[in-house]
Amino acid sequence: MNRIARLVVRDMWVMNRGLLVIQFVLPLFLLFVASFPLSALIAPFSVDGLAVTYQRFIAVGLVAQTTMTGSLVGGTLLFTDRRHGMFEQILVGPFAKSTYAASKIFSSMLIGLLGAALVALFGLPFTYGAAVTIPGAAAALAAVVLGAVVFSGFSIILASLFKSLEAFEGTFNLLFILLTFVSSTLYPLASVPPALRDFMLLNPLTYVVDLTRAGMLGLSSPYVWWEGPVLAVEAAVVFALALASIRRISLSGT
Amino acid sequence: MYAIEALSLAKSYGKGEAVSDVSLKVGKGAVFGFLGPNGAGKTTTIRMLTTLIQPSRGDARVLGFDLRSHGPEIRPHIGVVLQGESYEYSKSVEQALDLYGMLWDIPRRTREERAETLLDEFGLEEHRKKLVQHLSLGLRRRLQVAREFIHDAELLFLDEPTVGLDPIARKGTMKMIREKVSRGLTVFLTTQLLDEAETLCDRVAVIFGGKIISEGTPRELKDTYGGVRLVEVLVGSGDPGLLASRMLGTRSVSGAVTDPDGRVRVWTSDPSGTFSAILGAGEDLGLELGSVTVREPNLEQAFINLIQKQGGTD
Repeated sequence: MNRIARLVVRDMWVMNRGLLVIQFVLPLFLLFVASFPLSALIAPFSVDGLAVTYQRFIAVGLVAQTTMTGSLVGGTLLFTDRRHGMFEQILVGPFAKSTYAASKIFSSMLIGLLGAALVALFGLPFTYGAAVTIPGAAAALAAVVLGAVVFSGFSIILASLFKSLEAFEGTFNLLFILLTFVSSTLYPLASVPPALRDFMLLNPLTYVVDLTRAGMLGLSSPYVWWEGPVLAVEAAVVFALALASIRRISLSGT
Repeated sequence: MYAIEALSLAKSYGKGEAVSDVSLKVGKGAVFGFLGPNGAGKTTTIRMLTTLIQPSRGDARVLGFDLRSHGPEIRPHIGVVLQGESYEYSKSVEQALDLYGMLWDIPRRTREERAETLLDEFGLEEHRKKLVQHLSLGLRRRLQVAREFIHDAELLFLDEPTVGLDPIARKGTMKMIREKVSRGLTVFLTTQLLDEAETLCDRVAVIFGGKIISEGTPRELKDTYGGVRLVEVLVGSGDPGLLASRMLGTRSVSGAVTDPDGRVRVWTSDPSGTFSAILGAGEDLGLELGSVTVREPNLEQAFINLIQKQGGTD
């Protein structure tokens, strides 16, 4: 088996299953519990001339959001390896640092994408009737994959910076809330005040959500045309930075 | 060809030097002991030789590969038990062994067979289903050492492998090392347990203050730095006190005492001269000598003498 594949298989075996379950709690809660009363408050609305229910709107948004949550879990894989000495142990084995770094990014992406697939499966009934085209689905898939790269890399950069578990988890939780709520996951960009919208447009999750909605539901926005290229550039930059951050982890201090 | 050839290896951190001059050669199939007090530079040297950190100066070849440029070629052929703990905390003992074998790309059947042997050899059989995070420190260390035998290393680095192990696990570890060495494994071992080094190592080097201050076989180190020897004389009949008093006046003897069981213990820097003197004294004093035994100094004593000579306190 390929070296990266062996490390990815190991990650799947050793990862904290509790964290995996937790990543589905919020999207499934929002989808199956909160969306019903919220739908009673939020009437079907029109985006770019297309009428859409709130449940359908957030069902697709939550697929993108789960990509983020799952991919962020990747950082905990690196942090746990460092905490339990396996980071160094693996690096004195038949693995280069770049192999290890790539495996962590792939593992995180895999978790994010599997999570997204699962939420998509649960969200399927809510999207019934949407006219999904093959190019649209491909664009949505590309957005989710790029998002997985961005958030995997981001979490790995974070995990390489922190030495304290408490600091890492605290930052992780704060980021999760900020990225989720300052994005277009739960509300359309057009409905928020301009100042908040500017912040939301700095958030890569907004791009993933918008692109996924555009691909799956045909819901366009004035920003979609540049969100794709920016997301691709961000993915490339964050991937490179994540590789570099793992390579720079000091091995001298222990 | 040597398994390890290091020439003037050094490692600096900021203005300080953890290792300033390490040159050594380790023959293939040998057990090389790398001894030194705490903070002498043993672990830093191992971290350089295992490619975890780059040397600041100097060169080395490990298994014929240049250390600086051929890390990826070196690592698949070495096994490393680092000083710090490393474990798959969420897995059971047998799962952790299997997972480690998988990382080394050992075929499933082979790693299952090896895992069974290792569980048995390292006394982990009854703990095989326990989660690693629930094991005691000593058991985790056993597992850490055991798993390095699941793959086919040519050169094994052991950084204080028996710290925290009970005597049974230590014995198992030593047995496994000897068995593997007999099949061609080379071992680079650091330990604070000098009886372990004495019985296991073909050669030892002593590092102090980042520099190697002595190297040789354990016998050579004991001969050079062992200092005084103990000669024990069992007196069959007659007054052993007379012999002790006579020996105290002999050149090269630094001490002589009588035990209640009639044994006389003499400390000397010249065992063969003292041996002759004891026989002569016995005849002069009309004593019947049961046996005369020269006790060799151990490696620990030689190590302590050597470090004290350098101004160290260990």
